[in-house]
Amino acid sequence: MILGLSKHPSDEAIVEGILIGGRKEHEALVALYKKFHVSLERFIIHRSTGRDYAKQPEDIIWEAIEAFVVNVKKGTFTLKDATLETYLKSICKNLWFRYISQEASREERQNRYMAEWDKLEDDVSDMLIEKENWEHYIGLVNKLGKNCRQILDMRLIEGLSMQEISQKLIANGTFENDQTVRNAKSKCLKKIMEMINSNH
Amino acid sequence: MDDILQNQIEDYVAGIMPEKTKLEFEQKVKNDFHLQQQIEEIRRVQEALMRANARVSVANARAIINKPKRGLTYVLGTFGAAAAIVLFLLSTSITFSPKEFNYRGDGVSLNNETQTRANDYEKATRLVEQGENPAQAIKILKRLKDDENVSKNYRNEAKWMLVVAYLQDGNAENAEKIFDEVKWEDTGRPFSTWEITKIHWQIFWGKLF
Repeated sequence: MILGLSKHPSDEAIVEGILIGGRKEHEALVALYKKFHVSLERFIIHRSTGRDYAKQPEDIIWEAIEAFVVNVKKGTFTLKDATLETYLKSICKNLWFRYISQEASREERQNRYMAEWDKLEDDVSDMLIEKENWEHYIGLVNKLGKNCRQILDMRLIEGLSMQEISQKLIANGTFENDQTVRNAKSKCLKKIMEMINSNH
Repeated sequence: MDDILQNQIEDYVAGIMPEKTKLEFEQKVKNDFHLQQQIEEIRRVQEALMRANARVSVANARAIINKPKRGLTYVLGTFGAAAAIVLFLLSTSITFSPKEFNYRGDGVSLNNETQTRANDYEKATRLVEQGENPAQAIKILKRLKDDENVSKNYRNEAKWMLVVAYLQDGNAENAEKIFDEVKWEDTGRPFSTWEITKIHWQIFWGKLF
């Protein structure tokens, strides 16, 4: 199904848009938010204590969307597992309880949240722990220069061959020849590996 | 590590290795712990890139959702401001150019009654122009508009001033009554079209509240 994007896109169209990337992904994310934010916000508020927290339900919803996007791209979410709304609610619930349990006092935690914690879906909970671990690596990737990031994205995310990457980057004047592109890629990869390993 | 192997690892992780080569490569990986580690490292870089890109995409979508709709706000704001200015101007006091009482030359002597009417007319004009004591202006102008000894032109003029005096007095109903009567008469108006619009508006507003 092609995202145009209709006013009420289906779950399948949203997932497909995220997988296509670029403009389609952007449209899919906006549509996803518009489609579910009211029910997700109500879902989170229903599980709130009335206390004023620094994080608002809105922040939790966007964090959940980010986690969802990662899972779609990794292929760990399929619509066979659950509807999109159920899946997002599950992520929101985990993110919200995780957050308020950090904020709440020990006593509050015991009284209010532990019962619900026991019911957390294991896979979603694991996914969120993993998400926290990745924060560090995301920070390292963001430290790379613009050209490095572009080359590595083309190579490892878009899956272009070195020849295709060279053609593109020479054509737009970023690099002069094939060899400089190859050298740049090796250098960038070495740099990010060193950054990761020095903190691993 | 040689370039060929490095390229193979990248192709494998990026998922672009042809199926046949992939099977052979996986056989090779199975028995090579060092190669497995290298693949894991590239996978980690790949996932970090993917997660960083996802964060940017989500941040961009959030920015679009939160962006105030400037177009509509601007149009409504401009329209609102323009409407407020027009309404303010329509609510300002009505200005007019009353006829000066014509004594028909210095040599003409007026009898006492005409002189009194002339004095009344001038006094009412002054009161209405200054917006002071509209009740008194109304009293004089009502008398002048009904006085058959006053010429048609001045009676008509008195009616126009009476409309303004009633509005100054906060009596929109009576202002409308006189206005409806005088606006069809063909003796000329002491008001511009804009001032007539203001009278319409002030009658409407006065009746509303």
